[in-house]
Amino acid sequence: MAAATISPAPRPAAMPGAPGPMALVDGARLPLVFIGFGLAAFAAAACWLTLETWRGIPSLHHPRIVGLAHLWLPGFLLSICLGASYQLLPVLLGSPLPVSATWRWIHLLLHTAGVLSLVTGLATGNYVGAAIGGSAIAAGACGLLIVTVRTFRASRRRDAVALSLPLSAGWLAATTSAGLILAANRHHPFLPWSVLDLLKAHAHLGLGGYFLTLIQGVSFQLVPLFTLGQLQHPERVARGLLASQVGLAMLIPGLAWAQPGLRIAGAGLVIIGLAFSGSALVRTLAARRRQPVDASLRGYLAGLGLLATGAIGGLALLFPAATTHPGTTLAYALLLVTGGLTCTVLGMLGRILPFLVWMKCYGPRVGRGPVPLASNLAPPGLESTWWRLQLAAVAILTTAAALGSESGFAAGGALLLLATVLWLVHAARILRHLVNAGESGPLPVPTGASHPSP
Amino acid sequence: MNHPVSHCDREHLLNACRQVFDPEFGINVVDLGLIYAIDLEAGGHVRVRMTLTSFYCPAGTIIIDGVHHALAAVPGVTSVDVQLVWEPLWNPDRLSPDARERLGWDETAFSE
Repeated sequence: MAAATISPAPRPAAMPGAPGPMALVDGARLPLVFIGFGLAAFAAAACWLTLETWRGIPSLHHPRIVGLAHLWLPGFLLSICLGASYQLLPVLLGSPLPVSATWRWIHLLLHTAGVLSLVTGLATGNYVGAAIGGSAIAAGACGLLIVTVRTFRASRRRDAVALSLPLSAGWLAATTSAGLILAANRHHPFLPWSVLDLLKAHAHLGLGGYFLTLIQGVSFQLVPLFTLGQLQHPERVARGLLASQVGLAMLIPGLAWAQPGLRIAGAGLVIIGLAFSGSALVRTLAARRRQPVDASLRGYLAGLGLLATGAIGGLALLFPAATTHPGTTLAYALLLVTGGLTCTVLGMLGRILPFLVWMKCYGPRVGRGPVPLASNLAPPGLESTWWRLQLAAVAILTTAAALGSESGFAAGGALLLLATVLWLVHAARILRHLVNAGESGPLPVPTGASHPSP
Repeated sequence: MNHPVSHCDREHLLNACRQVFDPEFGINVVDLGLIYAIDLEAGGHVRVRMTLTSFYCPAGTIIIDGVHHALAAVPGVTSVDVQLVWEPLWNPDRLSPDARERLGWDETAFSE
């Protein structure tokens, strides 16, 4: 029989202006390495937090806690978001990344080395080391901003999902730059404002500016994708993003310069933005075609609920009466970081991680023989238990912190560690395919077929 | 079961495409309604018009390459040409009854 010829896969789209499908970035290796580093930081941060809960209820400004917060945020959550972003940027914007693979791997190096130096420096009081680490992270963040803006400019997509990508990258660059200014101010004080107020502004630049903006945009691409649904009320998504951006632009200076009216108005606008986004998400979920809601999505939705609760709690904290209760600020931070952001990021990672592993291990075998489904790479039981335990742990931790119960705080820490172990075992089962998938031998080639030319 | 060249028909080609699954939903590209047209031309040349569930489908290249390979493996097929099209745009109404059942699609909930 004559050999069949396979013409190259059609990359250009047939409809003018429509993007074609995008290939994996660096064969999924770069996103997976970012995510792997993030998961290692997650394991270390959860152990560290549990140890801290056994020591008693800490002050948010203790060097060890500042170090832990930076291991959790730029180390764990940001690393995972960066890994996912490198994969999602070209897919969501329908345009290839305009930088070489070398730059992307340099960013990985800057970020990982930067996190290690920053966290170690902050926890041990070596602020020069912390500043060097922060500079490396900031350099990577500024590079990512340039990459994102250039990809966005090359793209024809102009909706809230697309806009959230350069906006969040901009907030990230601002967050890391603000951190560097604070480090310089510690070495040679030159800022005439309260350092504690500036630290609050720095924290909210990252929490609200980067993470919330990213979530408010990307959710409306990923949730319909994972539920086989269609976005409902895109105008509410746009209004939600707009209100949050204006709110953040008021909240951050309001926090930095202790302007009560500005920060309350800003926080209020952020909450209004969340309400718009939340209503669009509820309607989008209601219109989904895949009826069962799996554990990843449940964890993700629980995280969004905690973020909204945390935002309302944050607004309440801005009123003078609330600040008289010790522990409420710690409870707010725990609710947002270990609750809202962690559940949201891990919930979405529960879908992205198996997909990336599947694409790398089994994608090239599609059409040539049987392959497992991405959703079947690991049994769902552990993940289903994880998000319930995580919610219980966060509820106990925040309540204990607010009430000043040291025993409750320690119990919450232990429960959080257990939840973390469950999720990491679940992730390990998925990642195991990177090793085991090769055991079935070389790829079968179709009878009489030649490989497509690149 | 292998079929010689003369017995290679549209149904055999569709069956080959049914080996290609969406990795997320576990539904093959035929039941997903992604295959708009598939034609066997003289000399064993296969022409396919297909779409994806979204412009921004992250598995797009894998699915398209999978259809290429699955069809090229059909005995009697000498060449494969897959054309990606966006008109008409895919929507969930293109799902087969089997796919709807697997997704837990409640017909009454979407009947309007």
